Amino acid sequence: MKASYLLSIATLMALAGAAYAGFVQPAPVIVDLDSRSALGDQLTARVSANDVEFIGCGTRIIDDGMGGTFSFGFCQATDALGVNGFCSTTNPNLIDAMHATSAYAFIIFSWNELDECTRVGFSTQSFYLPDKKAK
Amino acid sequence: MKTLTAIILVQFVAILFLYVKLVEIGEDLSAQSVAPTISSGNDTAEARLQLDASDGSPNLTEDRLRVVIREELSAYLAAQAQPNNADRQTIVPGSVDPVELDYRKEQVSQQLDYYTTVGSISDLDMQKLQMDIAKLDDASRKEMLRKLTRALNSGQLDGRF
Repeated sequence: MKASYLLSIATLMALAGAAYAGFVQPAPVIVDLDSRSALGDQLTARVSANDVEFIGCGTRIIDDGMGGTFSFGFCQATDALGVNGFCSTTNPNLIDAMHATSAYAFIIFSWNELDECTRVGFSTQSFYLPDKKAK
Repeated sequence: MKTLTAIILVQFVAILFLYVKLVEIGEDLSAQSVAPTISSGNDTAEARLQLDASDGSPNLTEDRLRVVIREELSAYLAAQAQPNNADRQTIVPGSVDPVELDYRKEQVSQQLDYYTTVGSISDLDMQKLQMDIAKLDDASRKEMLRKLTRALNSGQLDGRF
């Protein structure tokens, strides 16, 4: 009886652990030069075994010294094979979107033949968050 | 001879008459030119000066003249202290000499060519380059930003934004 009770407790603890882990969906960085697009999530790129993989977007707002500012946005990524994907933009709407990026996000972006960003997307979902239990 | 003398006398009298008439007309015109200035209610120093002189009395004293000169001088100096439109145009933001802008663009382009030839750009140099691009006109900014992105994308330049 006592052994059965202990086994039940152990089973429940194991299941609870699995439930806490939740669904995970690592998205390694992929850069596709044919379709001029790149995607991946920041955490997977950050903890990847290689030292080249990364993905991200950012904005720059620079005082032009003439009473105005110069604003532009960019996205950049390198996959595990070392393939690069860069794009930049001065489109205010895209800049706003790039400015709103968050940590642990999944990012996807595309560019045209002039290397101007044409699309940017972010996804911040639980399965991209780090596992707090992992040491 | 008598006839000639008579004609000369008639001419002399006629000239004298005309001269008197001209003097009278001149006095009338002077009086009319002062009157509208006074009636207009213009409160400038000039109007007051004319008002003082309009009655013909010699009341334009030295003190009065000093006051008028001071007022006129103050108005002149105030006008000089304010920048005129032409001056304001020279400090309008964004109005940089096109020749200077062309020079800046050429400098940025040469920098980009240099880094591309070297094959890499440090993070610090990348930030400096972006600040130099910001100092260009709008069209040149876009052109140089595209050139930079193209160099990065093609792998000719190793660096990051």
